[in-house]
Amino acid sequence: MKNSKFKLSILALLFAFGSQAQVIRSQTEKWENDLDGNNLSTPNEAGTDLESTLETVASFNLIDIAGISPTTGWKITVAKEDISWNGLLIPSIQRTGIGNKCGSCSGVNVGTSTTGYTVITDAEQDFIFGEGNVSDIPLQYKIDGISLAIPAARYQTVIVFTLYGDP
Amino acid sequence: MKKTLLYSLFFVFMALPSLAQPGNPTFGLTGSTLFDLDIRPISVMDIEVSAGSKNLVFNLSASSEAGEIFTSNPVASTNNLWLNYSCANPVVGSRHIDISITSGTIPAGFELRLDVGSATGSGGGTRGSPNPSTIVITGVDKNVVTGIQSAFTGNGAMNGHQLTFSLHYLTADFAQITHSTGSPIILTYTLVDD
Repeated sequence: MKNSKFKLSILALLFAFGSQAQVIRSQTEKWENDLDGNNLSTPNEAGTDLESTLETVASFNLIDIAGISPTTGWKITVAKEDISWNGLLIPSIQRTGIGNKCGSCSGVNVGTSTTGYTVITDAEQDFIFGEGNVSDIPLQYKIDGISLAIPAARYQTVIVFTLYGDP
Repeated sequence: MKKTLLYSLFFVFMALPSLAQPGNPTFGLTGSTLFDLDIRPISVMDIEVSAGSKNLVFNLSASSEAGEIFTSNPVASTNNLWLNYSCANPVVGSRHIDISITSGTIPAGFELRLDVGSATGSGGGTRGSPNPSTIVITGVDKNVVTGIQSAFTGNGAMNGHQLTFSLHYLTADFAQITHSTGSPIILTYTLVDD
């Protein structure tokens, strides 16, 4: 009797550690831009302002969703957490593809996910909906409002993706 | 024995939240990307011209009336130069622009003076303040514009600070004025961190 309870405990333990946990992974950890005279609208031309928009390539970042059963729905929200930011700088994000879904998964739901650029705010916003595991969902970023009218400094904000189940 | 059962139940409950099954509650997992935007020092300045050359050329003629001196004072002036700049500096609070003669000398009996206009045109940011006084240009640096912070003036003539140069003769020194065929002078503008 005692032995069987012990086995049950071990089984539960293995079950706990062996089960696959949900994962959201942002493959690119940092988008870094150093602006100088070369970033003026006419490079190094006196009197000109900085180029107002910086934009990444279409697949600058890739998002992976793993550990989800094929029939389980999920959503990703996006928000920013400022470290040192200026309100005149407007960060945006857009999904530029659907990534690679698992064989029996529905993957990204294009119909309910946002299309085009979404302005990233401090408040969480629904961004991508899907079902099952998906890897390499491509994301593109941009920042608008860049200008010498903003005091020269280093500005940082963290773009946070949060994965929720069964939206 | 009860203890063992409790342990078993504990591990089962530990395992359940990590399963991704329909009906599973909010995952609440996060990933992130850091946006890092660093506006580094930018120091670009030039002179733009609305018409003609950036060189100031003053040709003086004697009065046609015997007994008089030059017909006017200033004897010549021009206001077709504009000072443009783009500035950023995360370290110093502000900058200023100086002017001085770095080559040649003003002919005896004359003064080269400069009046600076307020920033105008399509610029932005905290542009500088013009020197409110008429500047007598010499070999010593004189402030043209002060208090420039992160700013841009707009590019080209009609943007930035209009510069009005005028050549005056000094009545008291009129005896020193002599004919000459040309005295090239170089004026140098310097953008300086405060």
